[in-house]
Amino acid sequence: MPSKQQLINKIQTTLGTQVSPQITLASSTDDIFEAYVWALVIDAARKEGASVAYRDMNNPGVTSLLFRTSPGAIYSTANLYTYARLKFGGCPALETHLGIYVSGKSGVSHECDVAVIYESEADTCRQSQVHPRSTKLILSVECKFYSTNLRIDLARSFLGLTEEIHQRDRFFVSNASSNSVAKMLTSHDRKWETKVSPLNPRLQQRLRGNFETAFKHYKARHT
Amino acid sequence: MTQEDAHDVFIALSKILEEIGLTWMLDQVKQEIVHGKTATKTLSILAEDFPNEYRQRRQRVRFVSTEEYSSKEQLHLLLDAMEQTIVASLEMQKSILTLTELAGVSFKSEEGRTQLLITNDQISRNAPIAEKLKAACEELREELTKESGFAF
Repeated sequence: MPSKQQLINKIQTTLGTQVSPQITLASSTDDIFEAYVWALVIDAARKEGASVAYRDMNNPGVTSLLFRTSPGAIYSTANLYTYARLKFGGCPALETHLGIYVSGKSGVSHECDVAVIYESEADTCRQSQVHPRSTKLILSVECKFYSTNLRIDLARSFLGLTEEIHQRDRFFVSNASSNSVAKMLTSHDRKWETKVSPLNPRLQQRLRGNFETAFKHYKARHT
Repeated sequence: MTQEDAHDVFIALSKILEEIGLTWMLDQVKQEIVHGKTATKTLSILAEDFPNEYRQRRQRVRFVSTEEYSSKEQLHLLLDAMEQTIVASLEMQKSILTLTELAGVSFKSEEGRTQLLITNDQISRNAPIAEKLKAACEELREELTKESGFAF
């Protein structure tokens, strides 16, 4: 049996000087989680038959991804942020963005961690310097990265957000969990998935399956 | 592991996490500990205790309350947080590159400050950290389930 000190030492040696500073910043882990969920959306689209191309405002093909660290406007020219163009045969093209603002029912702008919108809407917004309308949002995800249980106010905020940006295919996704959040979102008939991480392949697959269903419905509406 | 052992390990790990800058994670764990765990209690109540409600003479009613986490449960929370934050984040970085089939990801603020850069090389370097930490957390969790104290 290892001693208490041996186990502590093992963790200290592992973390000691080697742990990446990227992990030690709370904002970095949030960014990583959002990008991971964004990648799951792309993967779901691909599995549902979409062709995928990574782009930025100036380039039709990019080989590495560049993402925002805080929400911004789709038309921002500050940096050439990456988005994915998704094309299902016979359907209007879509774009998948990370951390952009969309305008809600009341005309107020809201942050969308992951947003899938019509390409035509995105083009209009880039040209006219306006935020995409939530009615043109095919799918959106609110991502929450937490080290411990989720607080109930996160579910309350999500309910408020979905009143503003419509409810169909709006997802609440977190790496953490909470019985109260699950109960509240279920009783209000919202889509959610918790404990999502590569360490939990079953839930990762279930979430991707939900995204695939959203794309399946999108194809059905347009073909 | 005894409750006392669990408390000692919690303190020792907290120091390590503070040293490497994971104070924010530790704060989330401490907040959860202060908040306590939700528990339900079934109470037997008398009708006269609730004069404004119609009730039978004596009824069993479920109430929600919060209970304190034991030292072992607190250590469980910390180990889960370490795994979710450090191990899962490293795995997520790997997944981003695998799922997108691209070579690198960077995160940049609108002001142009690069805060994060993920490459395949870096992921390979971090892989042993994730594996070792996961194994150490599992070992500690196993010890937590044992009733006896640590061997010294």
